[in-house]
Amino acid sequence: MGYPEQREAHDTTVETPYSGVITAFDSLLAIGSLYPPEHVRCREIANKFIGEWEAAMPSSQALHLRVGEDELFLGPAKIGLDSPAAKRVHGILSSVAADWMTIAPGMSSQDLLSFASRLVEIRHQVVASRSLHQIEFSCLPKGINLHQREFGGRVTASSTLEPHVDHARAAMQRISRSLESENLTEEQRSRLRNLAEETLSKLIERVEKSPSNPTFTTTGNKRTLDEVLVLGAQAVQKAMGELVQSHANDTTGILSILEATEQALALSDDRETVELLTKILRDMSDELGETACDDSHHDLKTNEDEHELSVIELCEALGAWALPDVDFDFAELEDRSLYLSILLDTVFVDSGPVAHPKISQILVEELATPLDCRERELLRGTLQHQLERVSETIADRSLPILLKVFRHSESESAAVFLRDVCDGASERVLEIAWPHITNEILIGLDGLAPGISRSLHRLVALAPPKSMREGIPRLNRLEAIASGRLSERVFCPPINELYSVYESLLFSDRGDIIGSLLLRAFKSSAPRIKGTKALCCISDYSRTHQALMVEFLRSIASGQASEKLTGMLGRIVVSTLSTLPQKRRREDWIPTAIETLCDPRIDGVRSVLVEIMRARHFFLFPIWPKACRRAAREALKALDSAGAEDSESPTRTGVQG
Amino acid sequence: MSDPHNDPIIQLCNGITHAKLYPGNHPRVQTAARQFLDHLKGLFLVGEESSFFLGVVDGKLVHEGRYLIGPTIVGHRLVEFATQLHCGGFLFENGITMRDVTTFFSVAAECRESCEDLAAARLLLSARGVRHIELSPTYEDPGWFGQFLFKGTDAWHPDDPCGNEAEESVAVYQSLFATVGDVHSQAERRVGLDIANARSVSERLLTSTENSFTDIMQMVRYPDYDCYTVGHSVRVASILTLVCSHLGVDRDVLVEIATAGLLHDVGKSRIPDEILYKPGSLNDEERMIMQQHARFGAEILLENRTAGPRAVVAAWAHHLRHDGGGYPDHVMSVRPGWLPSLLHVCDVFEALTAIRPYKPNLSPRRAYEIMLSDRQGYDPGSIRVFLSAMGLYPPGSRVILSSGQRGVVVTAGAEFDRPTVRLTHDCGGSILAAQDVPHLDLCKSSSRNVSVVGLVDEWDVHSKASEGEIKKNKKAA
Repeated sequence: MGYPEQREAHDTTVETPYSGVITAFDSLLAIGSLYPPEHVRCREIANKFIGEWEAAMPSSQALHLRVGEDELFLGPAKIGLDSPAAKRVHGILSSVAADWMTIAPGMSSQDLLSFASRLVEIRHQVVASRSLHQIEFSCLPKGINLHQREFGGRVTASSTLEPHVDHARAAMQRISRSLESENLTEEQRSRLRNLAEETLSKLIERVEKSPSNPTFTTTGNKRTLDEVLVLGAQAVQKAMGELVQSHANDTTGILSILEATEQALALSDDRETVELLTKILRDMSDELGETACDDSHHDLKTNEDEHELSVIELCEALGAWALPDVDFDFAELEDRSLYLSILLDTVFVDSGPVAHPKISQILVEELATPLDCRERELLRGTLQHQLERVSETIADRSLPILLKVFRHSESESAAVFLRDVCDGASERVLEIAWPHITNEILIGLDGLAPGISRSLHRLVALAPPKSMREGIPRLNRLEAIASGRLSERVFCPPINELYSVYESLLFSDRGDIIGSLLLRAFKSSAPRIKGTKALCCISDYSRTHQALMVEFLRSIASGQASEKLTGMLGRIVVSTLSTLPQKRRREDWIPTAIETLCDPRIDGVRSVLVEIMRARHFFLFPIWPKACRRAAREALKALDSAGAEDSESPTRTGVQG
Repeated sequence: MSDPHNDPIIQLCNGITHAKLYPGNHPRVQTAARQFLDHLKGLFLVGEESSFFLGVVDGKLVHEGRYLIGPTIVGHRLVEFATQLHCGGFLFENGITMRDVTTFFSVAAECRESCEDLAAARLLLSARGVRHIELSPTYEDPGWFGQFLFKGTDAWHPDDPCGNEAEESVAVYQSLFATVGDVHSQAERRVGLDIANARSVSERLLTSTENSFTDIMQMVRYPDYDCYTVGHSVRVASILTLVCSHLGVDRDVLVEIATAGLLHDVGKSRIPDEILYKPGSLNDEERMIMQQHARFGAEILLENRTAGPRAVVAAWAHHLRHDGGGYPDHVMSVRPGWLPSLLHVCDVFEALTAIRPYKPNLSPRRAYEIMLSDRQGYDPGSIRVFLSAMGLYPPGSRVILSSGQRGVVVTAGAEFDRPTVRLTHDCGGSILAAQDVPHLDLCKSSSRNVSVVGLVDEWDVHSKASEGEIKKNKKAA
């Protein structure tokens, strides 16, 4: 399909001899919307129309064109709307409510052009206003009759041109000027002018046909038809100017113009209008591409045929869908699992710092009823999905609501549910869930089978140290730490799997309490490494012991006391022994603690050991118990031998516990 | 529906709605007023008259001798205001100013109770400084402006196929529009939703469709260009109710279903207008925002606990696809139940067959073709019940038969393309009198020789598609 020169070439499928007249009339109307009537192009096309007319019927006969519902009648001949030209002529005449028109023989090209121009203008007015009023023709050239149907109040058409027609004409005028000024052959000039005419005509046609015409609602603002077309016409003009200057070659086609127009549009500020026009241009490009494809594959069905199935075909296709009989249970409420899943999903919607209290309440109420397997499974999946995507803030705001319900549920355990959520989940989920599982552990896993408790312990201990460190500030805000609701069973006796977790917990807001609990636990339980008993010299845990406890936990976890731990313990033991009151010197941890003092680098260690060893009695009472003195002697020996080894081997830096 | 009247009426209604939320000098109110004036200016330019009269007769908007069904449906606020003022219409005179229009909006928005009489109403407008808007006496009064301005024509077209018999349907349809509009407005303002009212209009819908859905389904065919989110919900609810009713669902469940249909897109009230009404396609970011509406909808309805689980599930899950795709993002094990699946089908069908600023409407047949090309997206059971209730020519469609008769589809038939038709025109095109109107079941052996050849396009709906359809079916016949 082309417009208008291409149209003349392509629209040859109309079979009647009158088809040439219709095609020429269509071109006349198209050219009339782009040039003023006095323009040479108009005269050319008017002469062509007269030629077609004379060829189709005796020159003495008037041309009588009647507009049917789905067809045109040119004299006695019925012309279907199969050709685009006939369809357009039918559309234009219908839009101005024309029933029929006659053109007397011997009309001058000037009169014909004036009529065509008037018809196009009024059509634009109708389209632009979408008025129900009938626009009445007036001042038609003598010899032309146009009969309009009666359907409403009549108004006389405005004598002024619609602004967008003006703009299209102005753009075409400038394009013509630029074509003239360039050094082009007549053939090139003619081809480019035809392309410009086709582009502009189609653009006007498309914009007018746009469903939201006459006003285009964009981002809350309205664009008038005129405003849209002004921009379009300017872009076409600019694109043409650039093409001409870049010496458009013979392969330059309408697609290149459309592309160049699109680029020209991109520079405009009016984003909404640009988007609208760009869409129109792209649709045009797509259609032209499809047309080209059809042209090269004549045996193929048209695009429309491919889409439009007959009723029979559609019925067959629907039958082939193998639609099952339905078995909806309408009386039943929707699948509760889906509803619960939606509730959970909605609780996790980011709607500010506070979770929806009402929705949370509904969730709490719904979860009061025990979950069946499917509900539990869907809820688990949904929670895993949510933890995968939501931020830590939203998770920490929303997850406790669910867990709190489960914590008070007889049929469900919050910790077990969380474990199942984390089972096989990504690192992200584990990281997000870590503070919450730890919180559940700290609160206490009463009533859970040992196997389940162990699996939970492993789950939190597996987290990388960095994740634990980063999880502590979040854990601080959860119930266990925030309210100090810590189960002693988690610390006493200490749980092997949790040493790494204990370590990170020492940095929580309740680090002091946790340290005390741990200290008490380690004091009362048998030491697994040398030096454990030395902890007994610490009566009360405080922040100052944090580093020692961390080192201690690490040593226990690794099963080997480090030099650092030995050194730290030694300093504490030396300091404690130096100031230990007489009445406490019989405590049973002291000899073991003294035995650990075998690092010569500890300040004052030798003097303390010597003092203990040498101290005998004060009156009848021994100053240091015998066991202490013996331990001091042994330690001194070890110290001496370590000192000797140190002097022999400078690389030796400490004492293994 | 006539476009030039639809737009100014929608602007008037929008202006009144905005004036309920914002002061007169707010940009939203000002924009509605400006757009209304622009439309009016366009009409004045084209017309000979120096005024534009919009009549209100029996709860309907009329203009130039025509009953404006579409604008009446969407323009319920205007009709309501006219009733409060005891007037038979509004005359907008040339020279009308922004101030007149914005004040008119404000008065309409603030008007809670009926005026004593027309004189009091006129006084009210005049006291507020409205100059170029005249109130007409009612239609029964010999002084009704339409008598002079409509050049002697009747209030509505004599052969209007949707005349008085559809009056109740129009009223019901209007109330559906009003309710959905109100609910969306309440959701936007984050105040409690009037769910009880939504249930009440759903009851009304069911009562009015007890015998037939034909009238309501004819309303469904009216396009609305600007408030299509509201219109979409109303249309989807009507279609969903028809399908479920066809399945024999109990009335109390039907009420819940209709309510769920009306409220299913309430989440769109939280989507910015720039995205919601964007004429072109959305970019990725905008699409993501738009897709939030399903989750927002569930959230809004849950916050209003009276909505019930069905409505919540419908709002959240109506964009879930049968193959596990769709939105909101969800775990694969989530399977929408029967209601969201059915709603999904109705939603897509409506979206395809309705006009939008960014696309023309499609014929039902084309809609089915498109849905066929995406079989994985729909629950086959839901498609089955939808097809059996709607058929190729949905109830309310105006059809041409191979016999030359015309009629309105009353129900879908046992065969997809053979509905039961209430004849409206005989073979010669003459309108059949109401008492002579027979029903023609095209599945019956006595009617096997007659088939539907196409849809009639009386309100510029289904235009392109139906033209082709008629031609093709004529050829086939």
